[in-house]
Amino acid sequence: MVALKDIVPAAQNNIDTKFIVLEKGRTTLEGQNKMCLALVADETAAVHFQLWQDECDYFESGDIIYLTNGIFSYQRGNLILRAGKRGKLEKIGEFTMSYVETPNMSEIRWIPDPNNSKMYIQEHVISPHSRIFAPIL
Amino acid sequence: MVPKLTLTPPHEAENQIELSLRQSFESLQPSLKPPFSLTIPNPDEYAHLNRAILHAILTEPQFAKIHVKHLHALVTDGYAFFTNLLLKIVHHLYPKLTGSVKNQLLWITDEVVRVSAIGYDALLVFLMRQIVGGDFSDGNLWLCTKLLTLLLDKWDCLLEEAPHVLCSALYVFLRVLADHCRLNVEKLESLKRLEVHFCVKIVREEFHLCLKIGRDFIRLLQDLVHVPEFKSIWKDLMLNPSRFNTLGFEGVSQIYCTRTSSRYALLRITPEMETQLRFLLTHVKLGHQKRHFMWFARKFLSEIDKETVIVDIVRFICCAHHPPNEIIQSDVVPRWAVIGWLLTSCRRKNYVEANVKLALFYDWLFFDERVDNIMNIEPAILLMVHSVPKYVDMTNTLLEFLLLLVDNYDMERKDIIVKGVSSAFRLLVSKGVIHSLDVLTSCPALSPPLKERLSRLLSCGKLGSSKGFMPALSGEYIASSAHISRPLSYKFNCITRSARETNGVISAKVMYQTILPSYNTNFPNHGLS
Repeated sequence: MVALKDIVPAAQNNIDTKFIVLEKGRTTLEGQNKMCLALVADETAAVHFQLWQDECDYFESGDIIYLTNGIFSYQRGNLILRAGKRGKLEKIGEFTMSYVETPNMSEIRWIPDPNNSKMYIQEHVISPHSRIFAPIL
Repeated sequence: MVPKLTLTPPHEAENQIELSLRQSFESLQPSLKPPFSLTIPNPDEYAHLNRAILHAILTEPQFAKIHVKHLHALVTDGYAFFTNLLLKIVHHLYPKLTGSVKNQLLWITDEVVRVSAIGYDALLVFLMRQIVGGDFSDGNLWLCTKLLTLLLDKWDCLLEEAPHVLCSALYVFLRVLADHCRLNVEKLESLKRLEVHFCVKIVREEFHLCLKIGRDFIRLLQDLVHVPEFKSIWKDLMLNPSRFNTLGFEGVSQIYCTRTSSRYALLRITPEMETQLRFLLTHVKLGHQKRHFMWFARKFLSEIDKETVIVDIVRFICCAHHPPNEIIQSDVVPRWAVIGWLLTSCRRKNYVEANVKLALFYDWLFFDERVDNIMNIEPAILLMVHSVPKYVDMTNTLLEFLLLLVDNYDMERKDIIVKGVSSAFRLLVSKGVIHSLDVLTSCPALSPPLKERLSRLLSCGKLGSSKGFMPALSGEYIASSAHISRPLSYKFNCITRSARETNGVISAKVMYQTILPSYNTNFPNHGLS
């Protein structure tokens, strides 16, 4: 299992992690596909997560989710974590998890690693918090 | 397809307890039919069989009697393992169980009590905790009825073997009844009658059990004085304590002076709520609590009727959740802040707010250093003191309520209350919970009459007697606080009594009034933003 602060964009379905859903955005329809962007977080970082099809209905803010074989990658310029076709989401609890809202891994500019062009490294922080879901203080 | 115990939605992980029962059931299903094996199982097999049989009982009502026979033939541990499994199911899964499984659960509970299984008392108490305060759904009312029927049915056995179960049940049903009496709905009538019958039976026939509960028994009873049966109980408590035929019981002050064990406070909080509250008070940092507060309120307080549970939550926080020093000194959300937030959450019903404040101050009224715990009174003082800088309305409201209680809660026993409250203040200072009471007595934002009253209370406490205590007339007090810029209307629901002693005979006039002041303050974002 990986902590959210350690996830790196990659075209691979290999992220196993646990997080709590902080907030859900509006569900949108694109053709046959239902999508919903959410802010999720663990004790180390937050990230934008894309819920897909019936996942949009089943998960609520406050739910603690276990993600297996997730993928963290760009979709139309936005960096998001999602289960993808091969991944799996499972609600394992609710409420009882601490979280931080900064850093937000989706609000970081990543550049290819000069030493290993297949890998990304952090270039700079675009915003300490999500620019889509404002922190509630 | 093996039937399920719970209604697990898609995308939700199966609970470990359910999984283990189901796996045992699946692997042993063929051996759950007669003829049963005569070989003596080893400990692992024994546990395995217990799990399988329990799953079968819960999911196959048509064969339940056969499965129970199997269980009786098999048991070698006084049903301890089996009952322990039931405890786990009730504690962790009850709200999610299907209707049919709940039905079977209550059926097997009856059986477990009948055979006096080891741990049946805990099982009954765990089930009582699943009754949700302020929840008028059919499922919740069904559970009340089932448990009451069972308790009345097994009365003699419980009285002899497990009287503490009856004490717990009295606490639970007095509290639940107060909720049920506030709603006039046809479907509640028979349940209400059953609850009244059960509570009155304990109070009238087994009054010694009420004494075991201690002062919270009075707090709960007082919410029911408008019910005729309880009105007469109340009169006897105040005027004819001998009517209860209980050796050593001399009067209500004896109950006032008995601190209620913290386990009673747990009885009106569901395990799920307890888990979330304890998490809030041990892990969530002050300044980052908003989302957790929102989630908690969405789950437990969203319906207006459920607001009454705030009274129980405050009692739980004061009496049953005492954080260690490491937490107190850390940046975790303190208890007073949660209570402040809860108080501001119950704007909709004045009696809820008054009862919440009473719950917050209840141990102050009868505080005795020798029997009471300073942690029970700590949240109220910290809430008052910490609210001074930004939310002085909160301080005003709370202090006003406390002083009102001193004057009116029980006029006949005012000396006890004066002593309790003043010694509570003194101990909080001497133990360093607050440095000094100047923060209240010299606070420019607090109303002068209030400060004056507080100073008078504190000075009479110092004299160590209530002789020098000059009670302010409540009428005068209300008039003098009129300058506090908010409407005050007092609807008191407490008992005051004027008694006159003539030649050793007490002739008393009992006046029933309801002392529940309702305030209307603007207090939208208490101290937590």
